[in-house]
Amino acid sequence: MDAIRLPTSNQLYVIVGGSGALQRMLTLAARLALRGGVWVLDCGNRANPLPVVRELRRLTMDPVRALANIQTARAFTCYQVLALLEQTCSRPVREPVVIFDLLASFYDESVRYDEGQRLLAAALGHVRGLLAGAPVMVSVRPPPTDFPERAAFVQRVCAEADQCWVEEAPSAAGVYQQGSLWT
Amino acid sequence: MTYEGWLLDLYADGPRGVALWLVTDDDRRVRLCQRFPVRFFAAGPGPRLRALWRWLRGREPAPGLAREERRDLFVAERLPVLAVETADPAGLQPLFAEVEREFPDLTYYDADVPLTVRHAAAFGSFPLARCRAEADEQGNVRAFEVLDSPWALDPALPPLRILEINLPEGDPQRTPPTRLELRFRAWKQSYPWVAGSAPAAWLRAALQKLDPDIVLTDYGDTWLLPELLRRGQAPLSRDPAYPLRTVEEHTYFSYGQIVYRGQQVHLYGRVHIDRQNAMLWRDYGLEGILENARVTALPIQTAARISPGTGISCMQMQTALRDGVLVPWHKQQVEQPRSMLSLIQSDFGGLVYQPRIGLHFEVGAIDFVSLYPAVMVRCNISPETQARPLSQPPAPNPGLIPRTLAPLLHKRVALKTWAAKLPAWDPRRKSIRARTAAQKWLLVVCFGYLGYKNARFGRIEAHEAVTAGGREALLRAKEAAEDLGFAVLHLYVDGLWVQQAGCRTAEDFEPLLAEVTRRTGLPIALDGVYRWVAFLPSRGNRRVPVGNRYFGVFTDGSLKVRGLDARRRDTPPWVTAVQMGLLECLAQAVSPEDLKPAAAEALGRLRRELARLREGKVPLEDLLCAQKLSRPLEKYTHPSPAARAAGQLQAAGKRTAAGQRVRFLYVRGEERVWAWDLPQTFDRRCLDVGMYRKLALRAAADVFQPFGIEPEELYALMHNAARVPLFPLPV
Amino acid sequence: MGRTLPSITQSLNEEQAAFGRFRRALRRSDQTALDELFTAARQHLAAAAYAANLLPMETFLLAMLLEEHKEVARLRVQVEALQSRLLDDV
Repeated sequence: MDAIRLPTSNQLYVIVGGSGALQRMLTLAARLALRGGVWVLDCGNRANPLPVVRELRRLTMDPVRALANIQTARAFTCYQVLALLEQTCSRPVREPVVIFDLLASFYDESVRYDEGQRLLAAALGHVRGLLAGAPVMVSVRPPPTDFPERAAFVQRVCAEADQCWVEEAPSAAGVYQQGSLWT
Repeated sequence: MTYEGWLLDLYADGPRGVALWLVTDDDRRVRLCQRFPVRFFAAGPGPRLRALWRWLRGREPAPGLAREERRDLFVAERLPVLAVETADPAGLQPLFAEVEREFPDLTYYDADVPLTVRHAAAFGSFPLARCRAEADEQGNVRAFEVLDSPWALDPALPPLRILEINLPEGDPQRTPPTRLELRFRAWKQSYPWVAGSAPAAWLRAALQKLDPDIVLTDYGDTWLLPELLRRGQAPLSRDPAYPLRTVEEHTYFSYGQIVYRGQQVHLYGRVHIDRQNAMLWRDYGLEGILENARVTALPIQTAARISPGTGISCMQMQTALRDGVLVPWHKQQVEQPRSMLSLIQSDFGGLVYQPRIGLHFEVGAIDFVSLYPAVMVRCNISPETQARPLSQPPAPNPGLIPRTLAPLLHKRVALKTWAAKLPAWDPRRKSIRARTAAQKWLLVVCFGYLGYKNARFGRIEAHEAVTAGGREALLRAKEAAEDLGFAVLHLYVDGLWVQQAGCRTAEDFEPLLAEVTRRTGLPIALDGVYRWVAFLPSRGNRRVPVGNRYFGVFTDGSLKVRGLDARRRDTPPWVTAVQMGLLECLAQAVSPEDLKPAAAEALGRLRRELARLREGKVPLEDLLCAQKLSRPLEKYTHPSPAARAAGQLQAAGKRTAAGQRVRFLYVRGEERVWAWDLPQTFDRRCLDVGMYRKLALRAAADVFQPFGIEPEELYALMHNAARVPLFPLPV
Repeated sequence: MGRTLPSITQSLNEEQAAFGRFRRALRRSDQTALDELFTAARQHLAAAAYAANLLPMETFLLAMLLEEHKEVARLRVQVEALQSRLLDDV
């Protein structure tokens, strides 16, 4: 998972991971914004605009104009995630959609497992709806250690994907890698 | 029969409706019963609503069903809904739970509105409201009318009978009690805390003889009442049909703080308040709790125990019910999409300036009165409205939030104005202070609540509009001050500190107050004029100022202290006393010339306190730290002192929940702390005197630094007690 | 509700941290001077937050410059006072 290529067709791209995945999503949003409109749906309070600006400044003389291409909205509970996707789906969306941390609110202890499952199924229904008009990129984090059973949510999302990247945990690599000695 | 009096309690009473307890004008306590069916609503696709209809029709007893059109605050058109009504108010919740399980895809409204809030919306009722009821022989209410308003400034209150049940030795779960004390007006009786049923019998006798309206206890929720009931029968509730209701203990997060609430014991027809488990008892006491209940319309027992966030939410629900607006069960409203550029320009909080570090003389502190709520009302900020700028006149049709807040805000301002006019000896001043303190908490949280993710009537854009309004108001105030020739020393969210040669009385600042009000349309008041005030730097870097670390003396000699150790609840009482003692020494200085002798006296005082510590004369109780356990004990990887102390307690069989405070002493040795509530007796020789010396010196250093005595200098001075201090004072 | 944008203090800390490698390679005396510049920027955090600049570092640089200019102005006044005293003495 060195880089996420810019999407070429209306496919669902899923990226599973922590801060590395987040960084890549932010970079991706910036690059997409250079080409035209982008929708950023932030489901985990993760879409910090400042790294996007920094990336844009490397790529263009006019980061403000590119930034204005990004339409963003946030959802803080899984009910809001569902409502946000439904609302976005009801518009004629033709630009790429980048969804940050889709499952964050599904890991909330106040949400019952079966309720989460039901809401996620409905949310993924809307994601499929979005694919009719545009490519969709989704990032998800693995569940916190308190809810290992919610890894099933991640699998559910991955099962929908046309392409799925999984960020490797450093220890899980299993292969000895020579790191830099001095950084 | 017609009854006139005050409404004491209201709760669900089976299919008959609600039970009402009245304190009548002839001092009787009357239980009446009123028919009061309650409803919830479901919305969704037609076929699903029809399926719900069929499912409900087959139930026994069949709830009332109707198709209606109602208003959702966030939807333009009226919404077709299915109304589901139960005659038994207590039956609504279980029925709704089943419906929600069976039809999870529908949207629900009005499903979890507290019963008293529903009653308040229907009848204008609230705890201790003056009311008139007409009832038949069996006590069934035929007509009910409320005669006053929660916004009355000086309401006539009933002569309440209050029974106190005290455990003079403190927390019974830490130290087993030996005495039980009952108190009723001037009567007081102390009993030995013996084994067996005797304590329950004494309480029973007292309840039967005195028939109190309010039972005030220490640890009644968490230990005393359950323990007494275990020992024997006592008619704790007034209503024989309902013994009592317990609510389990729980821990939750609120504003980034972990909060622990113990188990609760609620009574029927009588009010139980556990002073140790009540919210903010120390801040506003019973008067504040009663005020809270009046304005939120929550039962007194609930108002005593809930967070202000829940209180403000209930007030909003009441407004919504009155207006026929649906109360969503789950918030689904989402942010409207906007460009990332506008996110950058709106997603930030209040203005917190960096003050001019150091000592300043003759400084006026002026504060906007409840700035954020005032902005919400002034600019009509509500999830369903378009906010209006400060420069425009107030909106003609205020939204749900401003309508909820305006009466509370006006009442608070009116009470404060009234209190300021009362003479100092007037007992009403104390009562007004308690009531305005309770209102203040509700007003403080209503802003945060607007941005809270689960708030039914919250919306981020509205939350951002409030901070934007607050920033604008503060900047206008700054500009007004500068235009009038003041130097602005500090700005902090809703207040500013200003200085101008020759301005030293309240009158000198009046033109500024008038000008700020003219430019913002918001009420602003003089907090006071400081003889001197010192803004402190960060402890980490002496050149970096910190927004909320300062102390000063007003012209009347009273002290104001923020962000110092003395203000922290986990500081040992002795350290707090040392720091406050030093400040009181300095507060005696009326003019800059007096500061030098005052500082010299303070140094002497510090030296004496350190000597007392060295000589073992400071009582151990005064050296106790009381720190909160910030998470469950097993989740600590590097245990804090509080966690180590909690670990010792756990080993001794005493559990501490996250959010609870642990009291401990600093000791020498590997563990470094000693949990105060361990059963073993403490050996004073283990005490880590050096640690306490360090804490006291650190607290003292904050006080002396603005007077030109740097921390290193202070430590050196205290090491060499004989040396005469030579310090530069900025006078 | 958690904010998406980092606070202005966090922003400054991040920007300062981003110059970690630069700082490390400086002489100790220059490191101190650099730290003082960042400390100067901290005097104007409230104004920097209010400015809501897309690139907060621009505002921080201006804040540093502002403090430097105040210092220059203060020193100029002192120098002029000393000069006039010298001239008086002569």
